[in-house]
Amino acid sequence: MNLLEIKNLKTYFYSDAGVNKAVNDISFEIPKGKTVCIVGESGSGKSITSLSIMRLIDHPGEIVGGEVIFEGTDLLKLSDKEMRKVRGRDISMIFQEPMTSLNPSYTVGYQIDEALRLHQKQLNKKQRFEKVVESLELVGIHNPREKYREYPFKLSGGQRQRVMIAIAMACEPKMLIADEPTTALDVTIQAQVLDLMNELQKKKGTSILFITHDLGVVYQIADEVVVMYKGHIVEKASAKELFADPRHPYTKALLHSIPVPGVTPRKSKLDTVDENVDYLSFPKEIR
Amino acid sequence: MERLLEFIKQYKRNRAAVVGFIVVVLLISTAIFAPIVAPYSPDIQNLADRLIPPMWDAKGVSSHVLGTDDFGRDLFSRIIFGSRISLMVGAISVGVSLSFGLVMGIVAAYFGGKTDLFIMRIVDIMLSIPAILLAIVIVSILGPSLFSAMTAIGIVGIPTYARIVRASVLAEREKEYVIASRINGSSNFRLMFVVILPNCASPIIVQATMGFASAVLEAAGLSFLGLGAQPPTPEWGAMLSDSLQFITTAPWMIFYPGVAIFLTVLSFNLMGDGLMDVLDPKLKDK
Amino acid sequence: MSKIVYEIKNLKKHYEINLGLFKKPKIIKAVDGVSFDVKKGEVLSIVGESGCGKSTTAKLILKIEEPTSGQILFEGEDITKLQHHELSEYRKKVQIIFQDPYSSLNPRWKVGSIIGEPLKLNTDMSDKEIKERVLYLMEKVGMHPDWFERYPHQFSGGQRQRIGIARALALNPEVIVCDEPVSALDVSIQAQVLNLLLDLQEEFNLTYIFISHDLSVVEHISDRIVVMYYGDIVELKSVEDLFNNPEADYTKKLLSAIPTIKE
Repeated sequence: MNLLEIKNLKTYFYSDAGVNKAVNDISFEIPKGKTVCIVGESGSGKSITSLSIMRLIDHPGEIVGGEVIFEGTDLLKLSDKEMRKVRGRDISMIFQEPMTSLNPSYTVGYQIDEALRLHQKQLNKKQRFEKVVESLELVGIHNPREKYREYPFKLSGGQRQRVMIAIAMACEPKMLIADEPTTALDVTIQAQVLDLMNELQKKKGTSILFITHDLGVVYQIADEVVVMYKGHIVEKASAKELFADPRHPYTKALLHSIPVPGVTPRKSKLDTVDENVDYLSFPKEIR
Repeated sequence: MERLLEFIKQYKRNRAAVVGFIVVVLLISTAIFAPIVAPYSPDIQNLADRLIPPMWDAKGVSSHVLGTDDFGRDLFSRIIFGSRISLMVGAISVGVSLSFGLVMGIVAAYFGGKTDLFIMRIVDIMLSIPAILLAIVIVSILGPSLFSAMTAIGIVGIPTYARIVRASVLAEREKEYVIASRINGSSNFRLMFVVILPNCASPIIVQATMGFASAVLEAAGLSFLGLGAQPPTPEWGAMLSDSLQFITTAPWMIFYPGVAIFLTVLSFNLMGDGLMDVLDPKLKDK
Repeated sequence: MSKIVYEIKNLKKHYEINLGLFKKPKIIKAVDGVSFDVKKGEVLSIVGESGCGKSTTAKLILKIEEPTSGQILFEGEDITKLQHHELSEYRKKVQIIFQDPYSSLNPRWKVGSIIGEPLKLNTDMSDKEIKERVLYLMEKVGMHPDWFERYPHQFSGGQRQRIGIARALALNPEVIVCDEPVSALDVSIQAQVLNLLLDLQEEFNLTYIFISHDLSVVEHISDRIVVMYYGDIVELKSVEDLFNNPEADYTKKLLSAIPTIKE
């Protein structure tokens, strides 16, 4: 059962230098309650894809074609007003830099409360407070009642990212888009945040679209994987299939360029993605 | 070369800025070729031809396009020669402000600590004195002349440059390329002027362009007050002040020098605006 | 018996944070009594998470900062006491590759000038000789000679890192401190740069002090690893020992947190 279906999505950027086909005709699905990872390097179009789904693309970029079907409705055809209802309530998003995604001038509690005020207007102030405390607990923040009144600068990177997740989860959205949420975090904190996300998914049944360049992270959390290269999907498979039997040359090159402790011979030459190879000339591997 | 072409391309996007640039070029050319462009010398008095209105007026004559002033001097020629003075004022004032301000700003930002505090307190003191007042004080010490006006305007402008440069240098100082040069054994002087300064050029260029415009305006103001250019110098502000008494009888004597000031200031500001748009985010790496 | 290049003894760097007129200043112990050796020709990695003191240690070795106490002996001499001429000699032997390819190159200088700067400041080579050497270095790191006249903003992250590497090699150093040189790069570019670093080490007989938070990368290229945590060394072992028999709790935590693919 698919929560989101993306069909032939195209997002282009226009400049004096020409057209940049950042997302160039991609199609994939996000099943209910599952985690789909988009993996790719810079310039692959993975972030633009997530922004396109949320319709957060601004001039000079434009979504020029395709459909983004969420529970039967094409999001690309909604009015701005209708889309605003979707954002935050049905689909929410967290970003890479917790330092800049949280407003430094408002307390943590206020920011989570804001999400509730926008989308759950039926709640009164007291009810909202309890919900905020609940969501802080949910993301593993100790002393939630005290932390409510803290400002972002007092929190560590990991805590801020948890707060971001709390804001995103406050309205119990059906889908969470996470754009490289752990890239800027220390590896031990990253592990905690990934565990948290897995837990939340189990508890709340939220679908997750996780953007990353780190195949190790993909291994930890993905159910399905989409590999992007220069605006195209070059391989799509379940996580199990992809790691057991990577087919597309780009996927293979990517996997081989990462040293795996205990597996890759130490000090050996790593295979790299060849700049001179046109990986797009190979047939796409869609499973 | 590529950089220059890219710069021109982006600059062209702002139509107003392009117009500004063209006018500035015209202004500079006029100033350079003044003796050729102007039909008369600015000082020739012809008392028989006093207060003739501009050419298109009923009483005007074709030999004096914009009319004459109360001494029979051709207004158009005076305005043309006035451009030389305005440009000189702009250039020298900005030159003074920039040189001192830049050195103060760099030294303050680079060395930090007490040096920074000391220099910035001087800047604060300079800023707390109203510009006109400071200019008047300087002029009264040096005696009223164009030279004193330029010095005064130059000095008054120093704090702005000091602050801009300081902010810019502070931002660059901690960057890794500076550390790299320091590790390689670069001296302090070299770090300040060869390594860091070129990366702070943008805001300085923008300020200099805008500063040029305000210098011209300030010089006109000082001359208007009788503290700058002295007669018979055809400085536009002085021309305004000298003509006040004729405001009803020969308004062209006030209007056209005023227009000259207006166009000059506007075009430099437009150019500065255009430069700001192009220089600030774009040429900064990434 | 390998020659010892560095002997770091009880190195400390404390920062004082001024909390105002009436409070005692807070002391941050960025590096708190760290001791280790570096052997010639090895790759010694220092790993840890943010705030562990690895970058500060690198800065102390490079004399970007001065230690609060402790000794850094380079080939037997205490470098904390070096003056002018000796400092210049030290700089020729120990160089650095920075983490951020975007801020480590002077945006207003041409590539040729950036790579040539160490030569200009520390040798009396003529401009012509400097240019020759720069072109030689560029070739070694896989750069096209045309790039000599270009500016950093015209290059990608990986290419800029190459420029940084060429610069580090300019003075023919013995030791290069690599401060997270691949952390800011895409995975595939990372692999290219790592390969390049390994090749260069072999060709020029270099010793690397490799700072990183990425254990997979560190496992791949190191001989020995120092694990730091809040200013202290928690463990120092050869690569195999560390990965097979980690002793410290923190090391174990770090190792288990690495998201790896078990094929």
